[in-house]
Amino acid sequence: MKHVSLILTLKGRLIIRKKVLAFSMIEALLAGSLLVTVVFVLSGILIFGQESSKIAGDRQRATALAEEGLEIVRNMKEASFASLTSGLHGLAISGGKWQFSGVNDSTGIFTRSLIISDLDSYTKSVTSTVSWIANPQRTGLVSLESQLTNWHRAGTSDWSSTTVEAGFSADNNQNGVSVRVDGTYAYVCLLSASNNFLVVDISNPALPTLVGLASVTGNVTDMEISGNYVYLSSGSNNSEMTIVDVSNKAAPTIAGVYNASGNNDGLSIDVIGTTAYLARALSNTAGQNELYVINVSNPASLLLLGSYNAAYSIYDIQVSSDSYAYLATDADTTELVVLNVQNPISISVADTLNVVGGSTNLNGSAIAIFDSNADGIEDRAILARQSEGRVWPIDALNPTNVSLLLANGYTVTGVGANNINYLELFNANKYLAVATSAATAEVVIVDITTLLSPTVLSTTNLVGASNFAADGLAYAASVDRLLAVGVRFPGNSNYILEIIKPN
Amino acid sequence: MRKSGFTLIELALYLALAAIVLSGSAAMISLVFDARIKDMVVNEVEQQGDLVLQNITQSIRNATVVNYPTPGTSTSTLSIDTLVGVNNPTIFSLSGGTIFIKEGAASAIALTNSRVLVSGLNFQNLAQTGANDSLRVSFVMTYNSSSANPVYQYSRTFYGSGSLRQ
Repeated sequence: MKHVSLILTLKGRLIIRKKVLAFSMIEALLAGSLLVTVVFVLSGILIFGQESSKIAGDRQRATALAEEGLEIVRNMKEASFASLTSGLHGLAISGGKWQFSGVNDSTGIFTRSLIISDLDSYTKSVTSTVSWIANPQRTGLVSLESQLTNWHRAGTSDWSSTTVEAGFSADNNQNGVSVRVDGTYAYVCLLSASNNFLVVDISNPALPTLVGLASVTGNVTDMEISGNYVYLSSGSNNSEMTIVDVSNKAAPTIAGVYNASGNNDGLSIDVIGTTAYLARALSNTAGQNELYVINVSNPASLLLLGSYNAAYSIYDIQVSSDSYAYLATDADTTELVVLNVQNPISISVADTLNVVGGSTNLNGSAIAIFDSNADGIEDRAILARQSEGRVWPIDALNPTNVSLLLANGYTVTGVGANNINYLELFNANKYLAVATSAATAEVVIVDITTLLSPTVLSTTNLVGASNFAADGLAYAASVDRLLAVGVRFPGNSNYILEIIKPN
Repeated sequence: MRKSGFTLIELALYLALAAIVLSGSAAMISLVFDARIKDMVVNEVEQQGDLVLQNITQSIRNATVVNYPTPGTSTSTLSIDTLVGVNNPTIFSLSGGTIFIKEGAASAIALTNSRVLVSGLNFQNLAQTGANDSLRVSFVMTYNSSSANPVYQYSRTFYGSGSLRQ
């Protein structure tokens, strides 16, 4: 900067004097702050640029995880459409498979959750959401949606008339007792003898084929699947419960047995997660109880969690997701017993029900429970008794105060005074399939959409008519078929398993 | 008229200002170079990782058969069959930090270049019982640099899954 001074000399002449001065402090500060601003802006741009590359990378990887969620649900759908329960789910690997677990799951910085909702009976919407903390100010979110259709059935199944599509025979002359379905495999158990546990491939329901065999000791009475294991109750004195590892379908192996105290037969079994509930016939000997709660997380080393001494035989047991056990018993005044098994060390009676309508003093033979209000907790039960061909819908919204919905139950047309041996719910609990000993109505499908007024949808007379009694039923969602096992037809076919299809 | 020069103080001030400006510029240029390198490093890892993940999961979806891993097992190599007979089996494997694809009798082709190193390639068959094979692929991709300079350090783990469509 130049300052110009005007100096008046003595001679009256004006001298213009220029003087060069240094920067003032203000100017230096101004220049400096301009520089700092420019540097900050440029470096800010660079740092944000860098950050955005990382965020873009995180987003790509989050998208891959969200896609993974959809792929897994698609795979689960192939095995069982019904397994896609509505609600919020996380995923976890258990037993070499993906399973729903909790409400979310984490991989590194990413948290994934799946929301499954029903669009209609045959279509589900799946939203896979992955979120992560990109930086303290920013949360990343990727959300992918897909719709999955149960195209195997495509909503066209009409169970108002049925056909026996195929039969399957075993060559050891034993009757079928129980059948359970996992994806496109059916597990069938026969009463006794060697090779009485069968793995049958039903992916082509018209041609069921044997895949694997195992031998379970004793007269098998009931069967339940959990993960890669099948749990069987039997009359064996040394192994009332047997666990079969079915991770290799071609070679199922006995993974463990449980020997409950005493010789009373195991009659029924239910498994919730890693807890098995083994129900037995009555024993009046002290220390020989009727209900055993067993931790089965390690089949080779079973751990008794608790037991309950009942004054009756338990013919069937179903345990709800809030840990109430519903028992079909032979007690004359308490055909239905609800036990609180939340604490296996101190099991207590929540409520009992005395079914007096129709014939009195009949033994309870089968029980089924289901959730009617979509809260994930079973709130309805259906009880069957022997020799009356009748089912009893029960309000179990409050397990400590259960009541009959129909005072006289519902008489299943065509069954007559025969046993109802098993109850199987399917089609989103709208249909109840009943396995009976009636010669011309071994399987009856009852529409229970309105539980207060059930109606018979169809009656199936199994091949081998008068000789066949259905003992077990299972609905195979993957192929939309009902599987019935029972008394072997002693003719040419020797069927122990028959596959029923909707027309 | 008299012209006055810089004083020593003024000169010192100028030099000091110049020093600040120059060092600032140098720092900024260094920052620009670092940022450019980091950006390159991040993009190299993220894009190659994404490319390989997409390639493998897409191949799984299009596969007809998974030779290994079998359901419930995991392996470091994936072998699948495709609709194109001459490409069977198609094998994805890791060798020397590079992922290779080998289609049928053809020679293996690298899917990643030497700028990245891959480790821990794992394929896990988590198929549901009775359902199509469902594979989870995971690997760690690291930028390949001998420099200890933090701008060259970048590593990410990639996860993805594919189920066969049949």
